[in-house]
Amino acid sequence: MAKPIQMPALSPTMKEGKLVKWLKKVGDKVSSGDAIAEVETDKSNLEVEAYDDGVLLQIIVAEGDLAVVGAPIAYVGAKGEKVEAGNTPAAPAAAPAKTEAPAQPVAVPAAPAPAAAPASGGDGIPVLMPALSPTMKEGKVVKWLKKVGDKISSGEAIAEIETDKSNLEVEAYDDGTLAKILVDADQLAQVGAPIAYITGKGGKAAASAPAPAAAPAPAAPAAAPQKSEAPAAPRPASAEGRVRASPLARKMASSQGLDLSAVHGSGPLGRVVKRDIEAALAQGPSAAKKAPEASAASARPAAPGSRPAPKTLPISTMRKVIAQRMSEVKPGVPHFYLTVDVEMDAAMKIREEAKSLESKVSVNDIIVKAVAVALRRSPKMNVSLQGNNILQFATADVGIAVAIEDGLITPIIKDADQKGLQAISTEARELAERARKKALKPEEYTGGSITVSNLGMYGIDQFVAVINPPQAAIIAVGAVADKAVVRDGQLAVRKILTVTLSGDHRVIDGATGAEYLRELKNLLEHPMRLLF
Amino acid sequence: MAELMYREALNQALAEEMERDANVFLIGEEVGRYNGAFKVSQGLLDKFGSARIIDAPISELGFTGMAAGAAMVGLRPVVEMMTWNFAILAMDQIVNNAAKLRHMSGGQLRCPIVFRGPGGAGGRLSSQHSQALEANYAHFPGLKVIAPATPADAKGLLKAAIRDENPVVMIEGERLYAVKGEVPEGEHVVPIGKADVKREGKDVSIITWSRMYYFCEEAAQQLEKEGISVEILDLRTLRPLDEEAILATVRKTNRAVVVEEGWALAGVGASVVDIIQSKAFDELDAPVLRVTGLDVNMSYAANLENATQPDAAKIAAAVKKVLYREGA
Repeated sequence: MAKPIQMPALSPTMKEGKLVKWLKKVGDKVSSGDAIAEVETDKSNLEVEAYDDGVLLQIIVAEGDLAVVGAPIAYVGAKGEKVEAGNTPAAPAAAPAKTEAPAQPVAVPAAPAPAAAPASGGDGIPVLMPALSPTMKEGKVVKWLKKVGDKISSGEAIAEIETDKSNLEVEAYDDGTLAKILVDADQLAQVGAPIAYITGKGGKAAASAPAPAAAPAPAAPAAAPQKSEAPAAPRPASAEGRVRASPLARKMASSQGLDLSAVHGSGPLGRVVKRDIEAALAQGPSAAKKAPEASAASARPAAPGSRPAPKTLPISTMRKVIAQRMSEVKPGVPHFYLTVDVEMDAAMKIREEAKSLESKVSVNDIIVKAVAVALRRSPKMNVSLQGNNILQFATADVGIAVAIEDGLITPIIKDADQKGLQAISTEARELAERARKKALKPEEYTGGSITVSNLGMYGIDQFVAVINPPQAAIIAVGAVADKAVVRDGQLAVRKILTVTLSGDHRVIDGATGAEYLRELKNLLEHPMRLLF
Repeated sequence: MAELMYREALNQALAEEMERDANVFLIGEEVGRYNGAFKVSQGLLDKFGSARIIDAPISELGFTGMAAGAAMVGLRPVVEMMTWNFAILAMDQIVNNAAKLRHMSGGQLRCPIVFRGPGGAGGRLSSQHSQALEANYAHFPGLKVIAPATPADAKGLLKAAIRDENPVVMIEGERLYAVKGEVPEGEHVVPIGKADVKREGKDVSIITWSRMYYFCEEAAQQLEKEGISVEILDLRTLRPLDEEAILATVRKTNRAVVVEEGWALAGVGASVVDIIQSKAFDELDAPVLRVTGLDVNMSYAANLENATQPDAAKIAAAVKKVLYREGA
């Protein structure tokens, strides 16, 4: 009876494999142990062996096609035997992975034959974006090491590429002259796409301009334009940062000084059209204004009412892969947690002093202030992953979780780093009160980059909070309690507050979170620093 | 103002101009004793006699050439084509002689002549009798081409055409002859080269002419119920095109749909789109769309004839598309 050959699981993470090449054809004799096909897994290309002697009766999966692990890719049997329709594969005894064929040395990508490359000959020999790691789908040109007109020898590094793992150099495989650069520094190109042309033997000088290699918005199916009339959700730009906009929208944006990339496009394929510009303008003069320059970000925002918009950071290939992998492990917002004990003695003293000045300042107000000041000092924490972009906020706006009758809401104290404790206290109390009455306006509880959730009043020592997306972090604080600690080898009693940071691991790394917590701890333990 | 049919408005224009200027005469098949194939010349033979209302044999090339010759020597002929489909036979006289005499003679000869007759779908007359051929004539320098939609415009434009010193091609909608509308009495001249905003709106401009105007109006009324405000620009003159009016409406609404009965390729609408994209690119919020006749010969069957042409539903769909409402 005909026996199926199944797509083997050649690595623990492999779910499907691509049939690269059939090494036998239908009718060929096959002996057990013969390599019959080459399969591309998520890690490397490996050969599939036959486990039975016979004749290759039928090929199920064509070259270039994918098959899930365990699915039959061919049938082997006696010569002339018919493969029964609906032949169920035998128990998918996962074929042992062949472990020869180690991954290629990373700096020596398999150079696709120039003949197969697009537009070869006309413009010279194409230099293709190499696959420098098994997971790499596109790479960013970090820097060109040669310029147009430079002589190039085979083996010479001509450009530096950022992959999802690291920065590596691309070498030339031909002698010649660098004739044309197709992908500029900081631009992305898909693996296999030409990034430059070298004129060498047979290659003519570049004449026609070939289409730019950067794939048109491949990776990003423009974060499905959400139906919600959300206020100007910044639209994810395509991979190379091109913004689709109607000519009219472009003209309007330019005359109004709007940053088109910060305007949500409601037209086909996310095209920004007139109504989007009008909506952005209606949101306030600065809603979608050009993001302040990096240097300007440290300067304080100007007049009240005009709030600086977040800056859209280019997302690195590594960050992209991290975001994707973290979501696989923890779908939704993949959290990580960091906990630290903070000595609150000095902070509590401030509270006492405030009380004597008939000023009502709570521990939470001090924490809010410290969280905001620390945020200003850790711009990497002041971010949000939205679609394919990382937004970096220019302001430190802190949400405070308020339990209300039927749930929880987080009003925002804007620019909390800039406000005095009294102001924070007043505002927090006022917001909490209106929250309980359900009288908050949407702009009072949306936005913000971090939230403080405090269960201290319930006597909770320590807990772990769930991030309030699209924010990327939340701070869970328990009660301040006298605890025994060791100081200079002696037991001492200190007022201890346990703070737990939950971070969005797609955009914030543990070390970034740890640095931030260290700063927060420092500020709370030496509250005088809040003044600097 | 009297309410007249399109054919009556044309008749009035002819009669008034013939009374005003003794050099004006009408020639064509069945224009005299039969009172016109579409009754446009009703009663004119009785009024002006057979010297000025001339029945011609079936010989388009011949009587058109004769009329062009008459125009060269000072008369002002109006040539009625039984349909523009038959005028194809006289194409050489129209485009090679009438259109070019002034140029070829270095300005010494003029050819004040009007070629007029019905065009477009005829209502189950099949492919040789149901063609919107205006793009053919609009192509030639030396000709003016007019295509009025309403009785008032029909009268006013015909009067302007008869008074024009150049050859004018007037395409009348074959299925418009019975359409009624208010027509100013007496001296009512609509200048050639001026488009008309037939309906004011703010969301999208539909640019059209002749019979298609009525489908556009129907679409606009439907769309209005959905909260879409449509402006309709009736070009009226296809050569020269009223660029100013085209650009003005696009600058107002930022979106345009061009509706034309004829075929898409090399159609007049293509030139309208060209004007818009080259001169108002920065005013556009969406690509300009065209709704045209299908790229096939006209069917005989009534349902297929209708399916071949633009209609209110097709126009409304295009409008929604440029507004990014549906099907975008």
